[in-house]
Amino acid sequence: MARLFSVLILMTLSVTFAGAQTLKYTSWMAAGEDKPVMSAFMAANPGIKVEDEILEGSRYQSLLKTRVLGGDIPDVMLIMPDQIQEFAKLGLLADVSSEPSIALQKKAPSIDASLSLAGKTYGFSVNGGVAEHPIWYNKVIFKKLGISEPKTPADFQAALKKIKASGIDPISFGAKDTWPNRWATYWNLTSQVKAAYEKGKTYDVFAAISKGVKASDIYRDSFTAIAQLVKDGMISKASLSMTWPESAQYFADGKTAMLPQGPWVPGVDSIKGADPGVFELGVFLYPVQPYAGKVYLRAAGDRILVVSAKSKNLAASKKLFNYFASEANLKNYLSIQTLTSLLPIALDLPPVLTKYVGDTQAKGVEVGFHDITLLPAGFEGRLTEVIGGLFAGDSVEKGLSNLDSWVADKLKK
Amino acid sequence: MGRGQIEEVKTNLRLLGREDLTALLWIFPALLVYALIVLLPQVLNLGYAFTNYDGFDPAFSWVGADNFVKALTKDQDLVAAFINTVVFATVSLAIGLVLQFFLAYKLYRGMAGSGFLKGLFYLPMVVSMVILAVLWSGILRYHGMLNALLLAMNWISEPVDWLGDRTLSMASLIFVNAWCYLGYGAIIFLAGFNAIPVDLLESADIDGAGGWVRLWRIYIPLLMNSVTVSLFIGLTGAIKIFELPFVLTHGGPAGATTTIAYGIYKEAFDNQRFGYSSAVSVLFTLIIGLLTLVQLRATRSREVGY
Repeated sequence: MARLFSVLILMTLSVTFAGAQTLKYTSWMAAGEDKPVMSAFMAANPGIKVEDEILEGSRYQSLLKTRVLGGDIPDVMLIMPDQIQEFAKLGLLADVSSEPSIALQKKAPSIDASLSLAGKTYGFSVNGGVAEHPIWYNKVIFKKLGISEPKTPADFQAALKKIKASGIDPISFGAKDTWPNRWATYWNLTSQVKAAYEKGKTYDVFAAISKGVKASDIYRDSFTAIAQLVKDGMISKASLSMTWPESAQYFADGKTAMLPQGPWVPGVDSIKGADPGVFELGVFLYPVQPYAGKVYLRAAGDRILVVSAKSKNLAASKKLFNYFASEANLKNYLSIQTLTSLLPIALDLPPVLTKYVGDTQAKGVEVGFHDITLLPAGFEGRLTEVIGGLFAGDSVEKGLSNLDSWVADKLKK
Repeated sequence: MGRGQIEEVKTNLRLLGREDLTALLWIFPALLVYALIVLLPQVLNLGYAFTNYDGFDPAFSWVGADNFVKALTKDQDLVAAFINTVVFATVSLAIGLVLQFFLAYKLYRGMAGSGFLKGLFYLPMVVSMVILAVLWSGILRYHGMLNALLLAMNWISEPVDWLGDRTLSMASLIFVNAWCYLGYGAIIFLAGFNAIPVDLLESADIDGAGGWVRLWRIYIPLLMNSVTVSLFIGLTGAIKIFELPFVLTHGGPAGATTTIAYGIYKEAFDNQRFGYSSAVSVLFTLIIGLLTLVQLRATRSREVGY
C-alpha cells in the first residue's frame, strides 16, 4: 500500500513539473515596471512561470555579462542598444525576424535595421525617442522669477543667469549614477552636428566617430560649454553626490529649477506626489541653434527586448517576447510609464509629454536615427564618465584626450 | 654530508611519511577548495594579463607585455589611483592608529561604561563594510543628515559637499575608514595594555616615572606587537579598499577617490578591458606583498620582549 502511495505521489509530481515551464526574465527595472507584464503573461499562459530578475541599472551591462559568462543566460531579457551587436555576433541571441511582433518594428525600417545583423532581426525596440532628453522645469519657480520657456540658446542662458541670481540651483541631475550625465552631450549640439558633417559627411555624431572622426573634434565645443557652465555655477553642487532617484526628489522638492532627464519623469512617484504649492511640472526641448536651416535631433532606442538563443524553452521564451512586444501590451506599458516609442504606436501620454513630443516634430526639426550600435559597446558609459569629470572640474583637454584614447583602444581591438 | 646527517634526514623522511602525510590527507579537502577558489583564478588572471581579453568576447589575442608596459608607463588614471590609494592608506593609518591607541588607553585606565563602549566601538567590525558605507552615504550626502545637523546648529550657512568635492570626498572616505577600524584596533591595543606586567608599572611608579615617560618608555615599546598587528591589518585593508569608493562616491568626483582596487574593477567591468585590469591586479598584488614585507620588518625590529 505504502509503495503504491509513493508511486502515485511521484507520478503526480512528475506530471506537475513536466507541465510547468519556468522562464527567467532579466531587466534593470528596479521599480518593478515590468512585473505587471509578467503577471499578465502568466495569467494568460498558466503553463509558463516567469521569474522576474532585476539587476542594478547603473551596472546592468557588466552584471548581465557576468551572468552570461557563467552560463546563466536569462531566457528573455532587456539589453541596452549598444549591446545588441556584441551579443548577436557571439550567437547569444535568437533570431526573431519572423516573430509576429516584429511586424510592428518593420514599419520603422531604420530601427529594425539597427537591431539586425546579416539580415536577421535580434531585438525589439520597446521604447525610445529623441535622444535629446526633455529639459523638465518647475513652473512654480519659472513663474515666480518671470521666466518663460526658452526658445533659443540665448534665452536659455538668460534664464540660467536669472535663476542663479535668485539663489536657486539652475540645473540638477544624478551625476553619481553617471548615466544621467548624458544630457550634457546635447550642449552645443549644433557644433557637434557641424563637426560630424564636415569631417564624416553624416549628421549622426556616433556614425562619424565610428568612421574614424576623432571624438574630441566632435565634442570639443560641447565640453568647453560644459566647463563654462560649471565655472559659472549653473550646475548644482548637489548633483555630484546624487543618484537619479534622489535628483528627481530634489527637483520635486522645489530645490532646483531644471532637471534634464528622460520622458519617464512624469511617471515617477516623487514627481507625482510633489507638493503643488512648490512644484508644477513643465517641459521644453533644449533650444538647439539650427544648422544649415535645420535643427538636427537624434532618435535612439532605450530598452531592447531579446530572447536568448541558448534558452531551453525557446518556444515559451518567444511567446513571452511576442506578448511583451505586442502593440496592445506596449500601448499600456509605455503609457503608464510615460515612455515614448520610435514605433508607430498611439500612446496615451500626459499633456506635458505630448507637448514635448510635439516640439520634436515641429517644422524645421529633423529627427534622424542615431545608431549607437555602430560604436564599441561602452562608449556612452565612457562619455558620461568623462563628462562627470568636467562637472567635477577636470580640464576640457583631459576629458577629450581620455575619450579619444578609449575609442582608439577599442577600435584597435 | 656525514653518515649521522644522512640518518637524520632518513628519520625525518620517515616521520614525514607517517605524521605529515596523515596531516596532509586531513587538510587535503580544504587545500583543494583553496586551490580551486583562490589559486586557480589567480593563475588564470596571470594568463589574462598578457591578452587583450575584454571580459566577454572569447576571440582575444596574446599581447605580450603590452598591458604591463602601458600600466607602468602610460596610464595617467592608474597613477592617479595609486596616489589616491597611498594618500588614503597613509592618512587613514596615521589617524587610525593614534585614535585606536588613545581609545584603548582610556579603556585600559578605566572609564564609565567601558564594557558597553568596547562593544559599541567594535560593532562596525561585525557589520559588512558595504552596509556601513550605505549608512554613511545617507549621512554625508549633500542633503544628508550631517549637513542638516550642521545647518540646524548654524555652524554652516550652506551644505558642504562632503562626497562631491575632490578634497572633501577623500577626507570623508578616510574618516569613515578610520571609524570602521577604530574599535577593532583599540581591542588589539587593549590586549597589549593588559599584557604589560603590573610589576613593571609598579617599578616605574617607584622610580617616579610620570605619564609621558610611562607612555614613551613603557607603553609604546611594549605595545609594538599590537602596533605590528594593527598596522598590518590596517595597511592591507586600506591599500585594497574597494567598498567605500564603490558605494559612497563611485570613485568620483572625476576619479578623486578611485583607488587601485576600484580602478581595477572599473577597467575590467565598466571599461571592458579585462586583460589590462588583470595586468594591473598582478602589479598591485606585488606592491601589496612588498609593502607588507617592509612594514612587518620595520615594526618587528622595534618589538620589545619582557
